[in-house]
Amino acid sequence: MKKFLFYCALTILIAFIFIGIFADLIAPMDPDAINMANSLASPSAEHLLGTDHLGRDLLSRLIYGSRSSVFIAFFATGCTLLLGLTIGLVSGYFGGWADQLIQGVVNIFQGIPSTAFVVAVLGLLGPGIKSLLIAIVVSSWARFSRVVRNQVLGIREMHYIEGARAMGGSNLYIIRRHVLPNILLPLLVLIATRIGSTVLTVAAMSFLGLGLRAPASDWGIMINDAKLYFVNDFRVLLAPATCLTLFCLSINLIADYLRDHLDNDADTARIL
Amino acid sequence: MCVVIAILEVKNLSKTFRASRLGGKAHRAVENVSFAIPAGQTYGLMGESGCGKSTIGRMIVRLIPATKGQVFFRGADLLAIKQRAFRPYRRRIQMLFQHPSTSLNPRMTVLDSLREPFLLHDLPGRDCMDDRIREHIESFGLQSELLERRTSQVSGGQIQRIVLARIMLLEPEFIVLDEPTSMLDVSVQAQMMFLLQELQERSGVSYLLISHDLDLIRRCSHRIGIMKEGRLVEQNETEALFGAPKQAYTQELIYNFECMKN
Amino acid sequence: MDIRVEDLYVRFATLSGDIEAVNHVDLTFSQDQITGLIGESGSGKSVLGLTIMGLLQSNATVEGRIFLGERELISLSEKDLCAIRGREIALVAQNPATSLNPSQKVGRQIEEVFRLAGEGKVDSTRRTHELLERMGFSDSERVMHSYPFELSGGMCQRILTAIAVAAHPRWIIADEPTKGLDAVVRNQVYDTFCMVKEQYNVSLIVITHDLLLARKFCDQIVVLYSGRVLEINTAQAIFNNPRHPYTQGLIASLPHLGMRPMPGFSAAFTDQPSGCVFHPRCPYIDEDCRKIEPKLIPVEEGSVRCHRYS
Repeated sequence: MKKFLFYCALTILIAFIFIGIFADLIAPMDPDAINMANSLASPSAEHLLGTDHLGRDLLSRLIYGSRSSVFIAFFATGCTLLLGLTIGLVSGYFGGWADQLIQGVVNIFQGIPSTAFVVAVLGLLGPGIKSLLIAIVVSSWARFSRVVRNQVLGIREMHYIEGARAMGGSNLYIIRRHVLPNILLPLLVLIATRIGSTVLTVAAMSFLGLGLRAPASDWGIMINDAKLYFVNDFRVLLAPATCLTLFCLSINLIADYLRDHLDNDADTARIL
Repeated sequence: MCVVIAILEVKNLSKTFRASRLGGKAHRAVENVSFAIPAGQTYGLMGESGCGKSTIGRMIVRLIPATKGQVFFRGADLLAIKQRAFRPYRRRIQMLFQHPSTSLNPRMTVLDSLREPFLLHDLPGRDCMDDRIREHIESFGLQSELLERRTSQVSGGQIQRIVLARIMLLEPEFIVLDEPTSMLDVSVQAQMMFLLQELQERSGVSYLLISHDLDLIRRCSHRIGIMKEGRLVEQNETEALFGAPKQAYTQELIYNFECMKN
Repeated sequence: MDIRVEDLYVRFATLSGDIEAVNHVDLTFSQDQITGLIGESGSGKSVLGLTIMGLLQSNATVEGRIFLGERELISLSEKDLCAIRGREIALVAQNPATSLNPSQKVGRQIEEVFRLAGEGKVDSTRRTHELLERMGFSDSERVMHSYPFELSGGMCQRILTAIAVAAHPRWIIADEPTKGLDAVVRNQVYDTFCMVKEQYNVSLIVITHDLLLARKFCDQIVVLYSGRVLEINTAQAIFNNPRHPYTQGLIASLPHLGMRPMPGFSAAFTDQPSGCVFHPRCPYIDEDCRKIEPKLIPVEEGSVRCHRYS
């Protein structure tokens, strides 16, 4: 059952990525083409999901929306990972004063509520994709680095690390061959959950008008646009909200499955 | 009495672990320990858990820095050598660890683990290392089908052999054996110690054997040092030590072991 | 009453195939005796102990019968087993460091046994004091108010034993009581068990790979290898006159008795040899050993599973 859910979730995720990449080819219409005469139209052969308050094709906007939402999420998580991983590795592996300094900074960053933090950074830098990326990275690297550091601290004590050092392995060699492969698994789970929550953050910021700006297609903006009209036509809210929920749900299911199944792959032979 | 050349000489070695927090007490793990190990012999370091014997082993291999003292290896003070210049010694001095379960990277195959010495050092036969490894492990009683397995699917006794085989690829002159068999069954322990003694006879490698098992130390060492709370309380040639233990602590230890046997 | 194990067979289903951990074992643990189950990792000795307690994981299949006196244990329901565990057969688990709750004072952990037996708070405390004093703690008041980490390894082991004897069981199963302990602590553990045996008149099963402890402490020794009983005899006879080649090899492996290694490794559970399980490592191998599995045959006061004695 879990396996089935996992494959469903994976299919959905891949579909979203695929749709995002090939948005130009898949979208039936220009997402920004306004047709006031045909606003809030119900689904028809021409507009499969109908149109929004400006008469723009809802399906096309969803498709382009998945491009911006999904890609900002992946890109931002990638940047966060890079920063958090580097800092966490340095902190955990080398220890000493560098560790204490870094942990001090991490504590400060972790003390600030992340949504408020993102809003504050966006307020400082002004809205836009670039500032949204920076805001997300700045607000979430600390947690990443802490997880990495804790993993590294556990692995640092293992005999195989000492053995590699006794054989003359440099720090870089040990990190690359012995530390990284062994912390990757718990990281993978964290990355998956982060991607999900980043999509939500992007949507929330766009909803608040701090992220992407109209008329760009984005699920958050679409929800924002819908807030005046959903009483008349629930469809305009339901469509982007469904996409958002589906995406986050599939990410979380994947993370859940990975955590359950990758951890205990080998050690079945040692029950006796 | 003939003069035996020491391969390794430890002089006034001390280690103080700083308190992890302000106001905490510093812990003196090792205090002014001195001993010498003649080439081609085994020096047994015996003590109960927490007496600092493993710390000495780690300081000799430079896995942790010493607070004070010197370690002379063939006349050169190891602790005074700069990091960069120390690299050649990484081949000549090796260490075998206590816990087989963490001695090899669980994400690697046995073969990958055995390739590491070739990746780190310019060993002969590097171009055909897999063939060399296959040939090499036979003399350690390991079969080549083991090579494809993940290290998490290999028994503890075999892991210790694999690690030893890996160490011997580097052709070291001195190995610190830190409780190499304390996690193994008696029959596997006998096999392992036999293998180690055989290697010593064949290649003249010297050992520092760290253990809390007095019977094992007595059986396998030429000379023994008894440690208590970071200090070396007594050292002597093996049979002399057992024949006439001078310190009360040594007598107590021997008594405790004899107790178990009758 | 005796514990009788008849034709016991335990199999675990794992991802890498079925594992036969205990293979058709017939044994009698006689009352008022200390029986040592010795064997190395993978011999099935711990599984045998856990099977008697009915504490195996859910992926285990158990066949055969275990009798405690006249009652058959394997067919009992979990509820009936609970009534037997602790009260009639108690387990002293392997690792004192992890078998005690680190966040609870020792006194409370012992009192729990009396409370579960339905006694009031005052009585429980009083009986805990008595118990600790009987177990050789001269300052029972201080011990009761200590956390496990404030006590030494030997003391924790004694506390665990105290918990086991609190309900006056007839049988105690001790699983690897000396694993990873120093000589001094090991002697303390030995003393504790001697005392328990004397004071409480219990029968004991000691599961161990510590041959010296087994020789010193046990009346009867059972040698297990690959889930099979290879030899049963009195402790003295096992050490002075080991009959099975494996027992001989095991004793010769002891550091103070020569430390002569046996060839080869224990057979993997998933790939067991035909005939006698020990034949690939046996110095006296014969044509029969490869083909026919020997039976456990009585020889003088003991019994041995080897073709050389048939």
